[in-house]
Amino acid sequence: MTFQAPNPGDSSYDPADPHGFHKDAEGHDAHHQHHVSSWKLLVGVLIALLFFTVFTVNVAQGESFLMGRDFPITQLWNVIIAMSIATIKALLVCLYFMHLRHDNPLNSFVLLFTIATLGVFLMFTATDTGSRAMVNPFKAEVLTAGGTGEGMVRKDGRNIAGPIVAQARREAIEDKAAEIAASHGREEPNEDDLYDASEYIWFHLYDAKAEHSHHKPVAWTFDDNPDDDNTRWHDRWMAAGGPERVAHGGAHGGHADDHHGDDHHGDDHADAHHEDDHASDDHGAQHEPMVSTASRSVPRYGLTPGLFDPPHGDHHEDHGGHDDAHDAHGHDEHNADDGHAAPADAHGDDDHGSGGH
Amino acid sequence: MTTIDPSAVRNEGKPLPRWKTYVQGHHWRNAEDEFDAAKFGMWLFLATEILLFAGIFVGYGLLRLKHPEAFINGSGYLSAKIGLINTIVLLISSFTVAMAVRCAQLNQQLWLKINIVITVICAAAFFTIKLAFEYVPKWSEGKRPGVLFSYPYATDPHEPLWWGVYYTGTAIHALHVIIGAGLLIWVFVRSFKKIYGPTNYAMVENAGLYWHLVDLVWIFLFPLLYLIH
Repeated sequence: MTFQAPNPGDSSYDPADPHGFHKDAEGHDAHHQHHVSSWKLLVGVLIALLFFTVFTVNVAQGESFLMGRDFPITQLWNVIIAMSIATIKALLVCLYFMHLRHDNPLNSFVLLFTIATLGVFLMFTATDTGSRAMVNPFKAEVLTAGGTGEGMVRKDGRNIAGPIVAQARREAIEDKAAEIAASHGREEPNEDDLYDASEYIWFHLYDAKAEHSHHKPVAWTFDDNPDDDNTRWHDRWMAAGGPERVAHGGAHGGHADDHHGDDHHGDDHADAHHEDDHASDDHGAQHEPMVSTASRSVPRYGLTPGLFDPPHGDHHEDHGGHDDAHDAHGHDEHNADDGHAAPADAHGDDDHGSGGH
Repeated sequence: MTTIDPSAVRNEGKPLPRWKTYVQGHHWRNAEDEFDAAKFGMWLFLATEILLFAGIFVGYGLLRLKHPEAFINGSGYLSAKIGLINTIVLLISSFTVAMAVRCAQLNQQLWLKINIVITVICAAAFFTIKLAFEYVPKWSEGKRPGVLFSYPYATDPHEPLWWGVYYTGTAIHALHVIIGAGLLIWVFVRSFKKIYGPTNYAMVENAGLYWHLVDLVWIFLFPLLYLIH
């Protein structure tokens, strides 16, 4: 017998449900049973999730292994594989733990709509940032220049000249120099202390880099045996000339302007730690201090002439945005300042009482 | 919500458990509709949560495209082993929440409580591991976001950006872990009054949905932060 929708006046007529959508065939309120997941299913889903988790970690490590051996597996595949496994896991959680499989489809629709929205966010933002250079080339450059912390001021009032990464290294060297000076009973670190401190920090940088790099051994300019994984970076560094290399600017991937013709090795050394001697981009020596890249005006066309000129006219010469060109100008004069003046200031303030005197 | 006074309804001299006397709010046609609406509302809320994390994922993607070297170095600083342990902890907790919902549906009051307690313990473990093995050591080494950065051994000038993404993503996620654990503790406390049972478990279900969302977000954060390099 099929159910007939009740008419007003019938005893079964419900004004809250005039068409009888929520009645069963007998005309009673339909309390359809909620789905109760079987515990075997839930345990199975958990096991599958744990399996996929361990699997994705192993896959990532296998990829590292292959990439370290120059197997042609790209980062793109790295991302695609890891995200596919994550999506499978997310599907399992949604379908079975969150009951979407046996639930009102409206809930699934909400989830899918949200994910589509995420796609829209990603797509339009990527379209924007990826195509800025197509309108005005300098816009891409400005976008890339941000994010190094340059031009900001720390809580303790110290300015950040150049990228904060280089500044942090400089400060660590200064602190270490003060420590060394204190251990010798000196109040102020002399040039030898600064030299030793710099050596110390750079040794640790190579160790840290070797420890943290997932796959490829970092190709140092002095590294002539990249296949030998058993040698400590340290030893290779020493074998390749070690501190003398730093002192004489040899480890800088052949920057001609590292030499000032200055005999004072302390100076040269203080200069040297501005440079990352491998693939990284160190903007350390290229900009005047205290000028934020983020707030820098860019030339606009069709406005009052000169209104938005950058503080220094030569800044936008190289739209390619590469650093070799930057290094060429403004390098020497800033280096000399940073190496000399900063350590003396820092020790005067911070490190008076720390030593054995 | 109108409920029948339990003391007025006697069951062989004992008051009925509160889930048996639960009546839907007067403006609902039936308990079914009330439950569905509550769940749909929870899903709408989860949608906003996903959009919150969408901002972080989009930021991650774009910054990674701009500064791949910094992000490669960055994931190198993290231990995949710690991430793996935390993922396993969260997956187990997600399972126990699903089991807790099942227990409420089947009126297994003791196992409902046990499952929720396991979940909350997992949440505490996740947060402790995160704090003790990740946040505290990394922060004290100077691996910090933005202007706070003071780690001397970074090799890419954009590494503070990576730490910004890392701390924002994981800290907002950790906040959700805390909130989710709080919700589950609330459910746990109320479960002693026998409030949850086959006819009334919307609260367990929705707290569980929230917890699964925490798990879902971590399922994506884990490979993005720890594995891709």
